[in-house]
Amino acid sequence: MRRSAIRPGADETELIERARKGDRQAFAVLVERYQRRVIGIAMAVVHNQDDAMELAQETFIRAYEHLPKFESRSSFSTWLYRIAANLAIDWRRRQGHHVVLHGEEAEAEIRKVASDTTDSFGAIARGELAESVKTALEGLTPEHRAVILLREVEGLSYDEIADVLNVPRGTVMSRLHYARNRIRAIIKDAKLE
Amino acid sequence: MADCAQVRQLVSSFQDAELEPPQMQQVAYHLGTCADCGGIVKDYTDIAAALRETTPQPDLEGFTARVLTRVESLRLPLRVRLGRLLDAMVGERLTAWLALGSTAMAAAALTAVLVAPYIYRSIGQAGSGQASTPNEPQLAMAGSEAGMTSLESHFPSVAVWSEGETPVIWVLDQGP
Repeated sequence: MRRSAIRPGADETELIERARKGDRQAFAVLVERYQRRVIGIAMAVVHNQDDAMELAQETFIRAYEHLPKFESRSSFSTWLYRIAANLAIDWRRRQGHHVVLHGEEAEAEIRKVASDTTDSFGAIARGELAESVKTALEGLTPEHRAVILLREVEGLSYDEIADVLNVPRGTVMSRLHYARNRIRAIIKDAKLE
Repeated sequence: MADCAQVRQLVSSFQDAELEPPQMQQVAYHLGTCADCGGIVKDYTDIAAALRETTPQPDLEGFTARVLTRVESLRLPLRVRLGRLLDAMVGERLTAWLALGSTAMAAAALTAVLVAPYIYRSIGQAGSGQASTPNEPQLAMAGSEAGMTSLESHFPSVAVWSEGETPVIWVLDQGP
């Protein structure tokens, strides 16, 4: 049976239903709509463009395979971004070892970082600051890097980040707080050297 | 009023406007009067700008095509493939016909259940109204205007019935 052509600006529910039944053109429209953000989420964690592109492709493949299991009552974008984040975090963990701080240990670290750095960056040249931030980012765990990039680069809200990473909103707040202050501390330490 | 230690715990969320309104006001008030804490907010702003500047924009050309190429080489589970094949071959039209047929069958079954008692009663009434000999009084036939409410007779040549509210007594002519 011949399928009808996809209307421009087709409703997402219709696209998902058609893709679920094997309509690859409908799935292609979904890929076009979400590819930039999915790649951005993968980049937020792995911080390498080639790896992020590969992980983004894998995200869409997984989504296509598991479309029959997707429940329409939840948001397709959140479901997709969650796949991307999980794949990226798993990939990054396999590349290296990072300690993730929890509870009181994390709180102490946050307080330490916050109280030690009262002076602002001052007159650091913009290009120098950008490079310093980029370097400091590498010192964060995948979880902390993910939240700060999802917030600052992808512009997601706390609730959206919590949904994507499947963590409580409070965890997003504390990780962001830690990540910002950690970057700040690293840059100041480098400046003092 | 919030002090520096308290504000520094909140300033990250303040930057994102994710605090409750009273807390937003307290932090804003403090930042207006404290240069050190105000410097932290400026640093957060500079970090955000640097992150956006240093994050490369992806090259999306050919991405969708690559995804579709991989999708086409996927080996999906048999039940998923059969389901999709059935949908593709038969499509929505059969689904609609099946739905219509099911509805019609359900309606027919419901009608049969509702009407059956009346049919049974009608058959029963017609059977018990048949006379066995010509000399016996006949009951009012179906369709007549006489309403036979009772038939009382100790004699085979006499019958009593009612037509509406009028009782009727029928006596067989015995002859002279």
